[in-house]
Amino acid sequence: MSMNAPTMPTQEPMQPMSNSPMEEKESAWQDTWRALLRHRSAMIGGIIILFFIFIAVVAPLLLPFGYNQIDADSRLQAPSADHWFGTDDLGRDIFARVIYGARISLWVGFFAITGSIVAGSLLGLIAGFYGGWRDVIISRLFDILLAFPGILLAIAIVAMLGPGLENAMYAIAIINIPTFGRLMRSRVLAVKQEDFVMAALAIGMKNSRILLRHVLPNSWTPIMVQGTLGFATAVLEAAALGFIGLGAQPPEPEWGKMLSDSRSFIQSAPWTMIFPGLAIMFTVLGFNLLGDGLRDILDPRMKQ
Amino acid sequence: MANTLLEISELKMHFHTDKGVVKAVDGVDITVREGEIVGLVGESGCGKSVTSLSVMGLVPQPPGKIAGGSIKFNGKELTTLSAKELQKLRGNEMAMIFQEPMTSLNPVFTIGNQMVEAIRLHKKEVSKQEARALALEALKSVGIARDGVLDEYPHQLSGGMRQRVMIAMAMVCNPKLLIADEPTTALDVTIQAQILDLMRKLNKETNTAILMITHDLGVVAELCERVIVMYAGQVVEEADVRTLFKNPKHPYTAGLLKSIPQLDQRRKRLYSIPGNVPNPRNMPKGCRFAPRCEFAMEVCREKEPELSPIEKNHISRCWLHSEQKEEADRDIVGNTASSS
Repeated sequence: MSMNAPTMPTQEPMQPMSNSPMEEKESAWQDTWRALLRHRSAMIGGIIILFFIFIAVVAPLLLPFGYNQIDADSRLQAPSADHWFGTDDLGRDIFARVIYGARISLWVGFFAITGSIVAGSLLGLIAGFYGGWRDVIISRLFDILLAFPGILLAIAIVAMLGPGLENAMYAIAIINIPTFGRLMRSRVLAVKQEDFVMAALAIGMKNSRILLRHVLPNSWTPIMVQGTLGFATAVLEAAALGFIGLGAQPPEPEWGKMLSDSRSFIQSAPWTMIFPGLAIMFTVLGFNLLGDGLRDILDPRMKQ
Repeated sequence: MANTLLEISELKMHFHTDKGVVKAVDGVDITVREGEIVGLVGESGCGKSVTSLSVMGLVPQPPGKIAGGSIKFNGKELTTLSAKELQKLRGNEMAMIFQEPMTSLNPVFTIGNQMVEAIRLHKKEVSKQEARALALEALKSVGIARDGVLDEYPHQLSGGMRQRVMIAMAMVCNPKLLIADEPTTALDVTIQAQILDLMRKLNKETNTAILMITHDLGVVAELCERVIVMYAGQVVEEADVRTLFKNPKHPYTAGLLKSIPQLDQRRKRLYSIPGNVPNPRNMPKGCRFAPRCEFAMEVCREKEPELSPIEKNHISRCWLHSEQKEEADRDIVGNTASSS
């Protein structure tokens, strides 16, 4: 609900005043979208992401091999017309596994980051807006989480919850909460000083309502940027947890897990590592490019 | 004579900071009657904004704290009201407009959206359509006739238009009191005049009392019936606008009037009151204006003058015009004699 963005009235009768000099009947959304189309690296990032989303959604239906289809006769085969990315030590088609892996990685990234955005923003909003003891408690909580190196904390959490993709997701969500929380808090501290917040108070608006209507919609753009960048980190963290065996469990074709499974063949059959590695790299690159682009576009100082 | 609408007496609003207590408002008395336009004048930092925010209950507490006095609005004591009751009054019976129209509207929502919200905040039974119609009507009453404005974003309007929207928003619930905190300061002169006209018109039509906070004596002369001059957290003079301009009694008021640049005053340096506003953490003993006052006497530096009537409807806080001066002089002489 918070994101009820300004949608522009689409009805045409509004056009008569198109001769006014202030004429720019477009919302912030359309503005951003247009700038995004003009921003080259953001576009490249966006295309990469769309490509991965596309293959994750569609391609499994088109593949000749299942990702768990073991073929003992064709173990560790080099890339060929049959197996584009070659096969692993159990004769499974790496191309199929990498594509199914996109599903897992995007899924994990999406839910983990959504989780941290929701929890972090909520805590940040409360801390920034109400201040006082709430701020002290929440901010110290963030400090505690930030005191540990992220991946170490994730390992600890997964170790506690037990290895598995779902628990890895929770762990990644938790370690990213302070990033979003602090960002939101700092935005809220700035926005709540704005005159329109005072004006809203002066017409008798409730605090909770001001929070949702005035503070949140004016605070979430940096969260969006950070969310895109965080997505990349989350994919990487999921792969890292998979690599050390705490994330996805076999036979799930998680990219990090695939890397660690094929460590011993790095010299004899390098394709077993190269392709999952490239997949991770491109996904992370895509989100980073898009995130950087969004940051440029949404930063008011960068405008014209 | 109209009934008293707002009666602030001996209001003390203090801020507790790390470096000590700042007495931003220190014993202020202000009365506003129904349908009246009262000007509240003073330099930056003299406490006029804090006074008005105290009335609205918008001073964050802490660090602010009402250290004494009372605010009676429409017979109700505001200082003891709960936050919730105050919130019900705000926007409904009293409203406020601010100095910066450019930033007083939320940039991400349309004007219509924000006005409908403001209307439905206090009139819950009104449907969205009805509220939209009311909003349009309110915009017309402040001189915005263009229909499309409801669907425009704040950045598409000029400063003057935005201030009109703010006024329309403040007036939708027909408040009894409108506090205007320097509503024209950020606007250019022609727009200023329009906004002042508009406020006078609304005052006449709706009988809404206006407490006009400003440092611009031109605005006061233009709009107000009565003027209250504040200095360093206190009221120093109060009179009807004619008397005050013609016959200011307090040296500070006189200084303010002298500071207005005049066109016929060629090749002369502009007048300014010497010195600076005292530090609110460290107020001078005696009269707070004494260090800057050209008429300062011994008594001024020793004893704080009372706010005392000079003639009918004219009060001033100055020993020059006080009947108690001789008594105070005697006290001081007595004190110095006994201490030496």
